[in-house]
Amino acid sequence: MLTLKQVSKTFGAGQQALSNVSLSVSEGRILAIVGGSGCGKSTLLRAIAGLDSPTSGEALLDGSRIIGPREEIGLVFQEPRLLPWLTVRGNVGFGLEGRPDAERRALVDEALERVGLLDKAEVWPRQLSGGQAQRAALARALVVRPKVLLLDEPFSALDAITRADLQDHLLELWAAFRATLVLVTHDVEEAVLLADEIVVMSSRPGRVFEQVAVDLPRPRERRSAALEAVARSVAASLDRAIDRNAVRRSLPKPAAA
Amino acid sequence: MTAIEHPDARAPAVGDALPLRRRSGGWGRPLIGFALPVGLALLWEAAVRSGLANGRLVAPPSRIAITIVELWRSGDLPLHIWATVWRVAAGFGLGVISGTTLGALAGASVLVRQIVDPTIQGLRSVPSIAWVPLFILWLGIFEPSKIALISVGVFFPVYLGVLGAIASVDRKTIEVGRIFRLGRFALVRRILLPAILPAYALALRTGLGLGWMFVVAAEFMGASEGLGYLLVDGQQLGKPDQIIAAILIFACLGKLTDGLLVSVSAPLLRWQDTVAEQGLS
Ligand SMILES: Nc1ncnc2c1ncn2[C@@H]1O[C@H](COP(=O)(O)OP(=O)(O)O)[C@@H](O)[C@H]1O
Ligand SMILES: [Mg+2]
Repeated sequence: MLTLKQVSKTFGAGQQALSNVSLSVSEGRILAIVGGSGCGKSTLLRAIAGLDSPTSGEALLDGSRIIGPREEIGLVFQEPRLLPWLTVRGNVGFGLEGRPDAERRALVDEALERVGLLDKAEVWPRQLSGGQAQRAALARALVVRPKVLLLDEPFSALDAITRADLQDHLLELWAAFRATLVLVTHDVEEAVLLADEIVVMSSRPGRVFEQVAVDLPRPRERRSAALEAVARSVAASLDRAIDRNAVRRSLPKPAAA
Repeated sequence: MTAIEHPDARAPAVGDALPLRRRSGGWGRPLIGFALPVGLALLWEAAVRSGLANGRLVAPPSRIAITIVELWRSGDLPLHIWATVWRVAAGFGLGVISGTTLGALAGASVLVRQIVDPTIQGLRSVPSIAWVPLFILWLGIFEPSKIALISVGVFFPVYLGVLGAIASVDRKTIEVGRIFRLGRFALVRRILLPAILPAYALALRTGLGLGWMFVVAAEFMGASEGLGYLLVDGQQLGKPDQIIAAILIFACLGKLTDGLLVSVSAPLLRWQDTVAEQGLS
């Protein structure tokens, strides 16, 4: 069980990015976090990953406080962040140093196979397409078998077809590994397709605006009526969270015709 | 089996254009590089032989070749070459060690950087020859002062290269290391070192180039052997052939040692795909 208790984060000059965020995800579930850009989604994920510590409050995994990066918590960044001087194999096996060569090789092969990149094992990262690179990043995070996998808008830079492909892939991997997933996205459809639970955040400072349970059976079908219905309600919630009307009010009025 | 492991594979993977682009520049390029100097030499030889030029101030290639062979036969040339190469090697070694150490310290610690960097930047703007009298007073007129001067020349580009390379390592790359819980030492070994390697290799090459420049300055300040001595000797005794021969040998040695550095670092930098490698076209 992953729990956040009253997590707040203030950056240097009094800029509050997160304010009293509390939430929890039980083991093996998928939580999606949606919110406008700059509402603190990455900050939240980094706090869970132990990269930045919250100004107040705490993140707990199975009751123990997260104070730094941990083996059982993996993170996939928005960009693949593959190390250019290592081959795909080297990158995927990055977290396995210290294991015997044969074991490492087998684990990397298996992870690459799962993300469909086995034929790219000996290739340099620069030779991969965006989708392949993100797959490799996913494999790198998964190969160490984390209990919790955090994903920060992992598919947002990809084209729609590749994104759909990778979403399916992520679900397959999740079914195989049964890790707890926390997925940050600004794509409501993606959240509804993947998540058991959706947290809608409002911004400045970032806080939990609403939490929506997605009680749709799996496998879920894209653009099915049931899915669209949930997506509409989440989108409406997101609208209220961002307060688009406030934005609209602040825009100059169109000149009368 | 990939294109990278087998750059000469006859049948590159379909859709993988890299090996093809690589090969087009493969063996043709070094040979093309000879066309200009050899062509000019042949033209000059022809001009002198046909009487279009007298070749007194710039001897034709054949006479320079003879000069080099004679110098070699007398046993002088190997001695001069050895003296110069040894000085460059010693100065380069000292400059690299000090430049790398100080650059790494200044790159790793803001405090160290704030303390030493302004001073080093200030010293950098001192013209190199200005050091000569001081080094002679401190270290005498023999080898130590020469090697010191060369290492000063090597020091600055290496220091700047290391410092700049460390400063420009992406925080995002470091975070990958943090997520995998690398300790301080592992972070340096697995992230920092490989990340700065390309810039470091370049800094070493620049340093070596300056080492070759400074060895001449060092040998001008009074040497009884070395290629720089051949230059001074050639000027004083009016032997332009010898001067040109020495210049040519400098050029060859410079190119050779630079090539050595490149080929030593190349296997570590295979992952790079730079404009320099492929051209802008
Ligand atoms: N290292 C930082 N220093 C100062 N401000 C930051 C830093 N990181 C994020 N912020 C600020 O915190 C807010 C939330 O950022 P972020 O978590 O990246 O938003 P999101 O991922 O939802 O787009 C933004 O206003 C951003 O400018
Ligand atoms: Mg973000």
